[in-house]
Amino acid sequence: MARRKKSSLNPWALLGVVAVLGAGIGGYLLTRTKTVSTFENVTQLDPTEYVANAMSLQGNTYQVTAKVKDQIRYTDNGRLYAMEAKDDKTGQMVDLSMLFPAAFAHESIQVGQEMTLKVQVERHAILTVLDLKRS
Amino acid sequence: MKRPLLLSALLIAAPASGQVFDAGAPPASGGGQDTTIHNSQSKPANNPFLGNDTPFFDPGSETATWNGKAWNVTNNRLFRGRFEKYLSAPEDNSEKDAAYRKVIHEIIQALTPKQGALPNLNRAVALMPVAAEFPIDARLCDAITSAVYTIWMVEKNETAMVAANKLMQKEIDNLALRVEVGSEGNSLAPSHEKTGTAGGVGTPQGGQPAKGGGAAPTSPVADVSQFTRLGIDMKKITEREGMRVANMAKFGINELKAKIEFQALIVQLFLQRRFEHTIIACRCYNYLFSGQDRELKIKEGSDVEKMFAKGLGVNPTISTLEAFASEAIRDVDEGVLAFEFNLEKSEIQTASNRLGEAFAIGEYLPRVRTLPRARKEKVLEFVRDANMLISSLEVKDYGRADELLIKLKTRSSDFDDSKARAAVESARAASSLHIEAAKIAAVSQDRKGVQEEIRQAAELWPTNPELKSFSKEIAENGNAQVQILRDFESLLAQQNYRQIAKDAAKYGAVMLTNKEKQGQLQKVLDIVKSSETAAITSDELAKRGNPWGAWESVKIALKTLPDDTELNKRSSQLSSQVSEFAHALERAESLESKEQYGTSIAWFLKAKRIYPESSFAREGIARNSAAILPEKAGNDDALVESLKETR
Repeated sequence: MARRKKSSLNPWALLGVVAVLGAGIGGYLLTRTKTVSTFENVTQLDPTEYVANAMSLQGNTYQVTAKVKDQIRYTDNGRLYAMEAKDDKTGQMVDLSMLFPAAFAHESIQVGQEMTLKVQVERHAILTVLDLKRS
Repeated sequence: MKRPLLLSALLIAAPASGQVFDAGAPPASGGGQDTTIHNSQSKPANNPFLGNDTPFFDPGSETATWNGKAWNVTNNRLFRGRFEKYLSAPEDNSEKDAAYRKVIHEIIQALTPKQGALPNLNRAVALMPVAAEFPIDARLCDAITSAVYTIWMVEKNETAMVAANKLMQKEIDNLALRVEVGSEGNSLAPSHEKTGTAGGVGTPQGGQPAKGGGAAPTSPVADVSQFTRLGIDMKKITEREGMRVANMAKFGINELKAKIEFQALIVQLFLQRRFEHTIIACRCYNYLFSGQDRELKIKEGSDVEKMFAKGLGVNPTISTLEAFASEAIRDVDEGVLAFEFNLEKSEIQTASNRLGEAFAIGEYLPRVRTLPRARKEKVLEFVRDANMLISSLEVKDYGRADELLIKLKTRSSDFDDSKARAAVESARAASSLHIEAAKIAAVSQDRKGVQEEIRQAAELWPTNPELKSFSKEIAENGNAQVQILRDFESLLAQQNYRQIAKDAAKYGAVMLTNKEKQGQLQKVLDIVKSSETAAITSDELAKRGNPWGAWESVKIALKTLPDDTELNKRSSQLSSQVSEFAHALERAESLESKEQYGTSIAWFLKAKRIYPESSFAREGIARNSAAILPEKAGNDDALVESLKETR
């Protein structure tokens, strides 16, 4: 009787590989569907949906990562910036306007800067910045 | 020049005061004297002899002035009428006329001094009533006869008065002698009382002849009687002397009165151009007052005196007038001869002028009156046309005047149409200029200007055919203008600016004085111009590979010309190339209109991403950002409003 070769697969190693793969896949999936959440419990803004139908989003608070393109307007009451945010679904850049109230007057905001903003969709579909975190 | 001047003065006397011979008219019932003294009777009593308003003639201009009025002697209606009447009347060649001329000739011959024979006044006076019976004489011979008889009566009275004066003188002498004798106590009675006077002029009225007795009275009663008789004689002497002196004075007055009346008759005949009668009267006067002063008694400073003084340089005499009358007859004869000569050469105008002059002076002279009608007819038509020409010029009918000028020029080779032609052409030109000015005023909608120019044009040439056509044109244009304005308003309401721009000149012409319409037209033209500029810009941008810019340029123009075919056509062509850009702008504007300023800016930013130079996007962003972030409430509201307006 031929002697069966004894399997060399170590169950612990297999478990380890599975765990690594699982963690990798999970990590991938996690990063693929959602940007890393800067503001906890704040939903990511879908910029395409916003420009398409802002009325339904009014009153809601979102977080969005966007890049400063231009300062549109500056007054004592605040600043209005043209920014672009990436549509995670399409991968296309979507132009938005963000209102930085006077409370952010101390913030130095420059063109080209990318930051994650906590915004609220206010009346007149205005995205008003509530908080920001620079990348 | 002096004689023609004086003769010319007669021309105006002709139509003014001359008698008009009319064979059909009854003879003057009052005799010749009525005719001759007519002028003096009609004047106020305090007017000088022959008045102060004698006409004067200027040979240079052929203009006469009388009573403060001036007119052309051969070119006035009265003269023209009479001359035409004369030309169309038959000549005076009847037996009656010949007989009359024969009698007049005999009268003149009788009064003409001849060698070895004195003028025969009696024969002349005997023939004058015969001549006066002819209608053509107009009883002028009667007037002369009457004047002669007056002189004769004066002379007869003079003879009688001389005899009476002689008797009176004799009686005065007798009375004087008786007074002388009586005062010296002489008893002798005055001689005339012895002889007695058999009545007559010298018979003392109521006086009783003294009866016999040569001794002086011796009683007191006789003395008183003697004194009374002497007183009466003295009174008689005074009376007789007064009567004698009065008679002498009366004689002088009567003679002067008769002379003046005769002279007045002569001057009257001369001014009436009755030259044959003037000669007859002058010769009668010379015969009756031979050896006396023959100077005319004309009031110094009067027009008549001036007329003669200017013509002669000296005071006129009866002989002067006779000479002038003879000269006038000769002048008329020459005028008629010249007429016949010009007629033979077909120089109708000159012929008619010569005949007209001869007629004006010697209307009643045989040479003029016996001119055959056949010869006169040759100038009659010419004269009629010439008179019509004058009338046409007077009423400013230059069209008719022009026709007549051509006709006259054709008829008479010597017709000088330069003055009339110049008058016609200048009036025509001036009138036409005013009509042109009226047309310009009409284009400028200057109604008052049109009226004024038309008035002046009509004043210059009332029958100007251009006036009629212009009036018609004005009426038609008025309707056309109303229609053009209606078309404009209709196109404006339709915003069919390109059509308006296409006919801008037509609309502009009728709107020159309508500032409101002008403003509307200018606005339309500006819009069309900007749209055309936009179209050109669009084409240029499209050529350079900038469809967004091209499209935007067309869209800008379409905001003012939304229905413009050309722009809409371009817009359609470009839309397929810029669909995404156009969609973004459309969405942005739509959201802006819904006051979704945030998303509106997002779409504008998207459009700007596609076409960074987009003015629509730039302006849209500015508008919406101002709405989101107002600087100051009031200012930004205004800014937003203004930005909205620019959309």
